[in-house]
Amino acid sequence: MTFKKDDVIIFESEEGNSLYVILEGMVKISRTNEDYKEVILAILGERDFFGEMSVLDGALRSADAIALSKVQVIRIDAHVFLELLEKHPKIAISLLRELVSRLRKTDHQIKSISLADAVGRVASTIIRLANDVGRQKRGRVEIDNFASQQEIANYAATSRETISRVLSMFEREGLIEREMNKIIIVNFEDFKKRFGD
Amino acid sequence: MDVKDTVKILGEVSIFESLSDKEIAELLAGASL
Repeated sequence: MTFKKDDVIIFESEEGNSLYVILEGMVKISRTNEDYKEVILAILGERDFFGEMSVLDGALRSADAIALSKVQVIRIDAHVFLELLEKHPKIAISLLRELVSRLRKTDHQIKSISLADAVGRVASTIIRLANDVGRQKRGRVEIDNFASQQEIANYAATSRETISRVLSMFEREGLIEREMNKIIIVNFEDFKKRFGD
Repeated sequence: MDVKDTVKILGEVSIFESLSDKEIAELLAGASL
């Protein structure tokens, strides 16, 4: 199944009876709050999966999944996936590990939003993106098809103006480089050390 | 993307790492591409 940028792959509150695996492209998992402001919960890339929560508990979808670029996915029906879990306990254990990992990331995101200042939030968001969808090469991390500044702002729970200001500051300090749709962290280990991640 | 590439990528998805190529191909047969 192929989607183009900005297509909604799953809608929050709809019934969920399938799991999706991303073969190509990037997907944002987001919700809209009561002020119609988007809150991005996660950005997923190739080999990531989503939609597992409704498959497991039968409840309605908890968030939207929206294509950030051209996206190719495969959709696995809930009953097929649940049969697979029963047949292969190793998949269930891997799924538990993945869910715990996501829970830890969410804990970290909450801590960042509630405790860090604007620079810390932006740095933490960039580190999260680098870990999730970045490509590491000789200490540098390239994040391709980078989300818009508004989307990074929605991920960092700050404003677009703050994102613009902080990214420019990081660039002036030589911490990052920016090309068309790409952000490059020049030295990822140093960046993580500096911002306490 | 052909089936062979798709099987390869699925085999690299964390939750499916323990499946053989044959089992992934079977899973793929019941999925929507």
